[in-house]
Amino acid sequence: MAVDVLIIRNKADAATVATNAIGDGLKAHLEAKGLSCTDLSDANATPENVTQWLKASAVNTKKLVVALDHGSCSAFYGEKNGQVTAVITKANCQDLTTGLHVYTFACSTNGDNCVGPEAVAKGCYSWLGYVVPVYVFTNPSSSLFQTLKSIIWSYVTALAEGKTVEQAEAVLRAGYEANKNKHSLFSFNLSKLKLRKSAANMTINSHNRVVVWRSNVKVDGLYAYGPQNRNVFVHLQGVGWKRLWPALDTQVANQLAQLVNAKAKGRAVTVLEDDNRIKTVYA
Amino acid sequence: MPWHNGKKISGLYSYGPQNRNSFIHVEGMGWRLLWTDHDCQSNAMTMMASYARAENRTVNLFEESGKIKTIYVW
Repeated sequence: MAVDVLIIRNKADAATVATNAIGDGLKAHLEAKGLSCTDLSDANATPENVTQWLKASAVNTKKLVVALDHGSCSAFYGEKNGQVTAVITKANCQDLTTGLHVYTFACSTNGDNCVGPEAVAKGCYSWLGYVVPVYVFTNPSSSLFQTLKSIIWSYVTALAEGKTVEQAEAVLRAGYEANKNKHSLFSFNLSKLKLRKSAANMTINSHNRVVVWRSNVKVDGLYAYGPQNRNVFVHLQGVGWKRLWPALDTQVANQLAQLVNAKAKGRAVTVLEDDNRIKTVYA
Repeated sequence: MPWHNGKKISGLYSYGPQNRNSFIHVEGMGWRLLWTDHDCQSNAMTMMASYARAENRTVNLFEESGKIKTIYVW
């Protein structure tokens, strides 16, 4: 079953023990915000698992990747057999990140000519990360580590609450800024932070893998299943069966009336599809 | 045989005082009640059947206990 968010966090050396700990509790936190989540932690952060969850053809991850690991200009890393291993690279970033937002707490992925800008150029909606190596506190019990963890989480929380990537970036920057007097790590990381994006004012709900405009399509089939309320589908030529938005009786009826009319007259329609359901109809 | 494929709808019936009372007349089969569990579904199936009758479209129907449970309209 597809999820909204994929977390990738290996645990293969001293540094990634710390970055892995940043992700402790994040899955539950996001689920409490209404986002479904898979957590590829430690030995599960393999190239095979990451590919399975992110490959574009499967749409197993719908909105956001949270990557807490080693990074370099050429790759973001997971692990295999206990060894740090590249999982998102310049070679596969198009397939693995197109239509998604990526948030990394990792070194260097978002430098010029690195994997982050490569991904955005090839269809990733946004990549927030760092342009050079950055730092983490290595004692998860320390107050400084807990402060850093809350700062790292603030971006994800803001996105989960529906903020745009720009607004979420501002929250993250404010968190670093507010704590820069506690340790030089905060001001250093802040100075190396960068957001790359393909458009302005996106949210993870407005721009993701499952929100698609279908323009000028014909309706060539209708379906309803009596025993289940609001179970009404239309077949879009060349696209497939899509369910009418099932929140309200009236709206199901209204949308159906519009699409039936279009079908009757052979007129093309334009619809906004969200996770295989028709959210908006122009007929 | 619960599926009836490639059928035509030759009539429509409804009785105002009773909720979800909406029937279709299927050529070669007779009158069948549209499934009655939900307002929305009764409405949707009636709309589809009405369209099929108006435009002489072909339908596939799944019948259970004398009622139409599933409808495809082409």
